[in-house]
Amino acid sequence: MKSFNKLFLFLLGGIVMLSSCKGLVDDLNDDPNNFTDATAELLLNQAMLNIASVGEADPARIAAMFTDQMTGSDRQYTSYNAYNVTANNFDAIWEDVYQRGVTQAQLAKEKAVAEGNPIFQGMAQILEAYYFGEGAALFGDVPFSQVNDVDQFPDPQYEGQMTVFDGVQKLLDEGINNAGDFAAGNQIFNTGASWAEIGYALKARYYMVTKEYGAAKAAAENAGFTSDAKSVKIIHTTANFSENLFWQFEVEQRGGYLTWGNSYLWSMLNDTMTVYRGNTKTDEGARFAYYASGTDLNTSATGLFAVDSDFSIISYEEIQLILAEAALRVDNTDLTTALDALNNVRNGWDAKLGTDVYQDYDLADFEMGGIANTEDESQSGALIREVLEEKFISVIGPPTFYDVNRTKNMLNVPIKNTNAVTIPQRFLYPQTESASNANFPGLVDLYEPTEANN
Amino acid sequence: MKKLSLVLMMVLCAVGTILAQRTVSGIVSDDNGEPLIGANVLVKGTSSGASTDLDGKYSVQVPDGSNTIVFSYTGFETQEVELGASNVVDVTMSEGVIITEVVVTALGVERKKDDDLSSATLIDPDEISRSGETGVIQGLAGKTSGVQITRNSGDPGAGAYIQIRGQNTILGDASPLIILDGVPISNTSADLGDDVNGVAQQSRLNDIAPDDIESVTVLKGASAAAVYGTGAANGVIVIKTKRGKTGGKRFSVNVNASYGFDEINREYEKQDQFGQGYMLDLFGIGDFNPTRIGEWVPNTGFSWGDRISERSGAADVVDQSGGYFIGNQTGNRYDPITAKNDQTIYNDINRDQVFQTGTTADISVGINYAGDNSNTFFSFSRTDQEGIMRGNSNFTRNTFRINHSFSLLDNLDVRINGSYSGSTSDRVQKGSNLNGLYLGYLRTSPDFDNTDYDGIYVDANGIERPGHRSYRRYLGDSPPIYNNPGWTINRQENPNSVDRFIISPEINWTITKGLMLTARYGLDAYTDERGTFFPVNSAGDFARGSYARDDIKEKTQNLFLFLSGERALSDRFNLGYTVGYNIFDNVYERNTGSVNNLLLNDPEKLIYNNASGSDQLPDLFTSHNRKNGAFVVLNGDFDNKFFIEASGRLERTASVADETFFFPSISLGYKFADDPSKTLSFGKIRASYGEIGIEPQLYVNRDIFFNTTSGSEGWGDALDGVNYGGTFRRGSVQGNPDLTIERVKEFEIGADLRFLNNRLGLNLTYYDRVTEDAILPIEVPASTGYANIYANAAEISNRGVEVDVSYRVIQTRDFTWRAYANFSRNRNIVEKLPDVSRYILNGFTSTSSAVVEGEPFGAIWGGRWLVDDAGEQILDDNGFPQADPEQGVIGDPNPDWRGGLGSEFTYKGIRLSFLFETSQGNDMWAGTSGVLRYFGIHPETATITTASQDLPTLYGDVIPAGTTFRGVEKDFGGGPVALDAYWYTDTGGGFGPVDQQFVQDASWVRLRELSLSYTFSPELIKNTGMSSLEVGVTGRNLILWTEFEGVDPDLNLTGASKGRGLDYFTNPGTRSVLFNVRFGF
Repeated sequence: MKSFNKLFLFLLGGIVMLSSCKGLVDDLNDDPNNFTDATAELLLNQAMLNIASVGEADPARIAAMFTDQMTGSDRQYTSYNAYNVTANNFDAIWEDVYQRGVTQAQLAKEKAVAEGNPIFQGMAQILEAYYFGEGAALFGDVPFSQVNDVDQFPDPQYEGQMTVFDGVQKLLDEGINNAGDFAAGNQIFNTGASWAEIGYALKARYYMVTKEYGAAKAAAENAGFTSDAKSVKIIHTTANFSENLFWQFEVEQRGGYLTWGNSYLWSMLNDTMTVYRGNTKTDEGARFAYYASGTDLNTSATGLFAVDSDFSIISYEEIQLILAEAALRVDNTDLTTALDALNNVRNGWDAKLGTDVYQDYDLADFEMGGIANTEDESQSGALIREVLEEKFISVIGPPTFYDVNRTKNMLNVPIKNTNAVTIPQRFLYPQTESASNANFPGLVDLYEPTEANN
Repeated sequence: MKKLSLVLMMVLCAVGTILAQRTVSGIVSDDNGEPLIGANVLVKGTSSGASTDLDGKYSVQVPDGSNTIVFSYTGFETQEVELGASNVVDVTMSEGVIITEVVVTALGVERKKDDDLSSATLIDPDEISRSGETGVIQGLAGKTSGVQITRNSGDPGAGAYIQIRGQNTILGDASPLIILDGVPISNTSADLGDDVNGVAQQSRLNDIAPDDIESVTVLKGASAAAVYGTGAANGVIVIKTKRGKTGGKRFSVNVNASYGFDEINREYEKQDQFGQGYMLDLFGIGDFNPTRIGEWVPNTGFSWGDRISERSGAADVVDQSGGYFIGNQTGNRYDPITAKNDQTIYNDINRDQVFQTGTTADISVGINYAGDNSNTFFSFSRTDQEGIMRGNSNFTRNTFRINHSFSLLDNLDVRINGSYSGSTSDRVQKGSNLNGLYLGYLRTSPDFDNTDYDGIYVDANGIERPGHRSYRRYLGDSPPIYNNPGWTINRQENPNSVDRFIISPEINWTITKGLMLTARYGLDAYTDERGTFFPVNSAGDFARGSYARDDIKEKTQNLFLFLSGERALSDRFNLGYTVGYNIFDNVYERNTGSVNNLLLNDPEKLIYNNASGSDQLPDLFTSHNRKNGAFVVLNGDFDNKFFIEASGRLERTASVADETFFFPSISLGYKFADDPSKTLSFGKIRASYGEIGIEPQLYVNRDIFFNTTSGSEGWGDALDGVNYGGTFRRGSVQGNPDLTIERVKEFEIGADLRFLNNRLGLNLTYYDRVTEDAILPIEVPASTGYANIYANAAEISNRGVEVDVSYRVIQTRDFTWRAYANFSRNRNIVEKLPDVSRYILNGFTSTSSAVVEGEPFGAIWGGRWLVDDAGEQILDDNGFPQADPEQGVIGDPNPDWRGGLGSEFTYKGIRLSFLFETSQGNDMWAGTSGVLRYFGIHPETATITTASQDLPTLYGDVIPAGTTFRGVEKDFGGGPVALDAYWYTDTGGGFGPVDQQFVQDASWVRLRELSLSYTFSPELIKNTGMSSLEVGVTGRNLILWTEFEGVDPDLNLTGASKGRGLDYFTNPGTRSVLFNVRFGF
């Protein structure tokens, strides 16, 4: 019996020691499939390319449906089209803005600062400002100063929309200062603009959102977006997963979900519709053909949504028309600044379409009874309307959503839900945020204006 | 022990002689007439007995007053024989029905069920074999309590999901541990690749030939599995394969051949009234059309078109001036239709394009060889299956097995089990998938003929190009939006081939009597190649063709060393002990390559560089896991009445290398009755407590940075960073170096009872199990820079009752009736889930199977109706209910209870058996049904109604009273409204925001098996050279009763993943009849 006990204890002791041996299992938990760090450059690339997630992908499509630029015609998009959206529809968008946008820009910024690279730092700041700016414009009050510091702020506070835009403008100023005239064209962006110019262009966009028109005008001038070559476009090619996202969505993924239907934009370009905006100086036929194939998006090789059609995130048209509107908002007698900018855009379209169907307007066209004063309003009023209309047609996606709500729907875009009195004023806060953030301010109604539009 | 009982018997015999009145003798033989050596012969109610000798002869003294002799032999049915006048009683014993049930413990040790303290149950291999299922898992369905089997789909070779009790973990393995001949084998790929689209995947248990199996024991409780530590949180299935027999004939051969027919067991109904098309007002164009009957429009997804019966019936008017299509299948020419006149309904033709009667041919040959010091079992099996879907839907499997054991020395036994399994199969794309079968098939408008699916498109200039014709692109001039189902099954390929080797040698060294050292090694290595080929002109992403391939390699090695022995510590107290060590090592590699936009469209050549560089995407995932543990098992019995078993495992595992974990278990049992002659023939109560663990996933300890895509992932439009000079981001999941294991604690009590001379058996178990520190990615606000962090945060409980009953209602020499039933009830609740609204296990962003605090595990989550505090729907101004902007729990996929009820009748050589199985109270999201409403295909959407009064539609337009319209009049409480195309394409359809309306009761009852067989008596076949012959026919899944619409609810879209209760264009299930013949010689 004793020998048995001894043997037993010996074995027991032996195997316990064996199993406690850490060497057998140590060092196996180092992920062989992923890196644990990346360079500032690659992170900046992420922050740049991810702009497509906000400006060209689902948020752009939703904005276009809300403003009736486009029509949701199939499946879930039919519901979206009637503003039937739920909080979880915005989960991915929020993550695109914060986790895939702001966070990566800030990580790049930290690395740039550590490496003493002010240009990268400035680029990162401008990109960071873009995401905060779009986030605030789409959602209203959003987290800002407590972002991306999980140890100190596991539940970031929501800050007022106007406060966030103040911060965005400061970030842009610093970014412009740091990045300077470093060229922004690269493998992602097709643009002749410098980072400083992009910074100013964004400043102009966000000053418009906050209705600070003087500052918007100055920023739009500083941006120097003097030709389409300055437009910031995401490069698209025919290679798989580099195609235009509208093309991918309509041709590859969700054929028929997104159409022009008989949207307001489509109707304004369609000479068979009563709201057709052509006149003796304007023939929208070529632009209609460029945009649409019947009621479908024109995804052919010669269309706006061709497979390899670069998509403008910040366009020449947008900045010119900001300049035009802001000039009039600051001084409603400054008609020529606005008119020049408007004509620049019209000429730009002729250049793009290879046509000569947009003759220059002159001021008389906007006088009462003029060909561009269809609502019997003041000259400056008619000019603002024409500028907004041109912008509504030229700029697809979120910036137009901001415009329609900022102007309290001056263009009278149709409201597509019989129970609503306005188009949606904002994107809904995501379900993920309401579940996980202790400082979540509560779900805000789709039709509740954001602070800037209150 | 055996020797002791023999001695005892001889002594008793000697004593018995004095009192004996008569001596009975005879020969005991098996069915084949071979003598049985060493069979026990006992005079009932006495201690008088004997054993048979080398010729099967025995002689026993029968005391006065006794007139029954009990013959028993391991592996044979015990027989009681009433004595007549004759003193010679020859007995033929039948093999197969084991009365002394033997369960196999987690370490592969056999133990009498009567002495076992766990809730383990044994499944008769005949029952698995008789079910005719090609996979072992599927054959377990309904056979025992506490085990739930759900098929992935009716595709040949598709796997199944197996769940013992309930789910215990969110991220850990969902499947039980599979122990084959004492060694864990891989079952990991069970939940890999089971997504809402793609093809249904196999289960790794498919690799085992059902006819090789000798026994299957299901260990449900934690205490029985505690020696595996972090390996066995979901229970254990212990499978023993056959081994060569000792004694008897040197050679014996058994052959089993079967041929079966399979057909679809449940189908969707489609409306046959209205054609493809819509009314323009659906898109806000033109005036409101109060009839809600649209016009014919080609290429639309909708079937909201005109009334087919109101067409002229003449030939369609076509425009032959432009492009046209020539179909390959019929040679027909298709021109653009300018007026649709044809009234033909093609629903049946389109159905027959897809479905056929499938076939399954199966043959297995098992050879036994008994040597002097060795025995060998060799088997070969082959299965050939053609699916119920035409085209590329099939499964072929070949298996070889050789189990050889021999005695090297008197005290040194060696056993080597080796097997090879090779399978090739082709399955059909399913689910939420533009290239999936059901999506294209079910949505096809009733007036569209799918027969021609590929052909040549000739454009207006006469230039030809290959085309794919579907109801969304009837001229085949551009990609088809949805595949024509003919294309899906005939042109697309999903070749899958698996090669698997399992080798497990074992050495047993008997050091001294009652002390044995065992060394056991197991190697399980397989490769699983999964190809996916979409020819040019397939739908969606694959218009320009695509070929992708996953090469999965996995190697699992296990080494066990253990010393086990027995010791009588006193006359009444026996102690058994096992001390052991186990090291587990698993290497997994998944090498994925895909090429898109193929340069050459050749279905025979699946070549990676058939695309430009940026269209070639390689990916590699590897992991290496290892753990090692020491274990001790002690079992004692006192007086053969009180039992105790204690075990412990000390473990270190790679994912938490810094800590050592201990998993204890203890079980107690009391056998209060054990006398076959009493009314209460056997009684045992048992209680146990055990702890087991689930290790954290590997590689979640640190933040990771990776190459990214941008765009909208959920919609599929994306830009790959590699096309843009490389984009890297920090992942949204925050690494957590502080994770520890999940710990499962279970308390179980039960009783094993037998009554009426062992004729009625009853096993009862109650368990209460909780998983603490369950790991999941907790949502954190994205504004923190992360979206999730893995944390030990959740708590999951399982409580339930299991009952198994079996009753030999009638047992005479010629006629027997055995009835059996099982019942299980499990409550699987997510007790704690802090800081997480819901975690999606699988499914869609709209509807999913999720874990939600306080709700059943896997709860169905989706959009709900907007309701007030009283739970009443809040109606809009037009009287329609609205969607709640926030989603919530809308259903519970877990059954309230499950049960099986079966009987087996034998009369002479005839055997008839049936098994009913049921699942009650489980919900399922009928995603398909919802979407068919959207498209105007669902029969409900073809209702014609006359408006009783002015009826508002969803968008406020009014259908005037008296108008006959396509739709349904309904009052939600705010006055009657019209459910029309507006309604179904918005709130009332499957793409609307309210998923709740499509959650249906998916309870079912089915006749799982009905089997009839005839065993020829030895006399009939004695001149054939055969020793046995049996023919039979089995019906499987013949009758299904369920309220669930369109598809067998015992299927699951997301396969063997933890996401349950979702139906969305899931490939259908089958019912089968198979004929079978078995013979031996």
